[in-house]
Amino acid sequence: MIEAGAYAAAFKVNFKNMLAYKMDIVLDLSFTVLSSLIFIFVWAAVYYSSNTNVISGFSLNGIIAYYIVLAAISEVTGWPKIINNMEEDMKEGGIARFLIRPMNYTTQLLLESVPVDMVFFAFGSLPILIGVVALGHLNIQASAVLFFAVFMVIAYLMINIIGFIIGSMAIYLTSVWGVANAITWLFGLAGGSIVPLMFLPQSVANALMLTPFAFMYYIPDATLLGLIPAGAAVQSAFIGAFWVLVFALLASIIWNKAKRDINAVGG
Amino acid sequence: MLDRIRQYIVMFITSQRYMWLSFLIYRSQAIVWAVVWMFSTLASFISISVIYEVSSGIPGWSYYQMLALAALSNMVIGIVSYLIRPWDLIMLMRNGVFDQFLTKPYNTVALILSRSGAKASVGSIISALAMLIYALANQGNMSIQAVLVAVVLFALGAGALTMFVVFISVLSYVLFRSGNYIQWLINIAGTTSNYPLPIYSVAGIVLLTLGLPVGLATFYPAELMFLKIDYQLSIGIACISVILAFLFYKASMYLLRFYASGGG
Repeated sequence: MIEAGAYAAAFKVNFKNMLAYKMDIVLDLSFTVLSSLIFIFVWAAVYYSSNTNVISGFSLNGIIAYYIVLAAISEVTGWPKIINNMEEDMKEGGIARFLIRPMNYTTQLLLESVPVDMVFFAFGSLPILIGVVALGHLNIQASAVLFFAVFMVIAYLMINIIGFIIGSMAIYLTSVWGVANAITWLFGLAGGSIVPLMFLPQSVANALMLTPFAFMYYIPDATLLGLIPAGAAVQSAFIGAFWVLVFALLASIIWNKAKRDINAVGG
Repeated sequence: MLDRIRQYIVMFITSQRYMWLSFLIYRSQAIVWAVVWMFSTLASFISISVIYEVSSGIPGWSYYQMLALAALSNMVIGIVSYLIRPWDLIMLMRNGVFDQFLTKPYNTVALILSRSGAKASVGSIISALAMLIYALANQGNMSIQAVLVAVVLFALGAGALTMFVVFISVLSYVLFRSGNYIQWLINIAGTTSNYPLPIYSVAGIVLLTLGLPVGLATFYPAELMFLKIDYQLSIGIACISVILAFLFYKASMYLLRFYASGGG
């Protein structure tokens, strides 16, 4: 049984490594905020030309808040960093080195990717969230913050488990970047990162709310802004937890199969 | 002169053939990547359709005009990405493979444009072309002459944007030896130019025309296509494109002097 201190040490090293790339963090944050800013400009033009304060239940202030919160969420759920490490391990053969260590490979991956996400959350998401609440004079309920935290955990687990599934496929495919890009695009499109789901036809929006897509962006965002009432949020939390379990089961099956097919030569 | 041009065309075609063969070795991946590139056109189509479904849309632009503008945006990003992939270029410079570019009897920028692009971006070009044809067919009352001049304007704008990406890639290598952010910059440029420049205020218009010149290949050709600007102004825009392309080219050639061989 490996000591807890070893986990803590590995976590600390990876955390410090991540902090060494300050410019990357600043640029990533800037581009994420810029992406949201484009949609804010677009919707501002739409609202002004439509001579209306509310479109599909959203006021202009509401949509500005939506896209700013979206930037905060994207910092953590936009791309499963676990894929980068897994693909490199599989392609370069480093996987063999990791498998003989007295530490589970999944744990090692988490020790590498969680510090990265923590840095992006601390220096990216958190300031954005504090800023939008403080400057936007939003009336946010404590229950909304609590549910937002729950949905963020669900989204984080989901995107990383999906990343793990895609990463496991690197054993069979030489490169999984294409698949990973396709899936993250799909989550963005169907999850409300380009257009809030409320703007879609009611039947489509309702159907998407039951799928994993909505949990990546729309549900956490809309919950924080009070667009999803507490009763519906509880129901969504159960649906989200169900999807996490489904993906975890799938990941376990695929990894157990992939692990048997790993062949490392030389080193 | 003609012989030299012929040599360049042969070099470009040969390089493209090699790159296409390399790209198609992994066919399933090639298809996945081409589909991924199509997603950006799909995303533009969906977001514009939703905007026009729930509101009266962007002032001064009809639904089909907006689709045409977004199509030009996706097409130019596809073309630029087909010719240059900044991350690859900087990797070539970092690991010393770029040395080979300097020993060949061709212009270095021409070699860069023939050897470092993402072939999968044809997915974006094809899907954007389909969306453009759909938009123009439905728009009606089009002036063939305006469309033809807009095509020339688009080509010149695409040239200016391509030279900008070459310049920013080489500059980034000289300053940071890295350029991961350039792809993000291109993506942002693509999203921004899906919509008319005036929505980003005067500062946005200036920035996206002269700084990051994506508007030269998207907004102005679209404006001309729908006769929102006259031919005189479009000549001015064409001149700006040519001047910017030349300046970015010259600046890139100057910065390439700071390339330090990394061995390899």
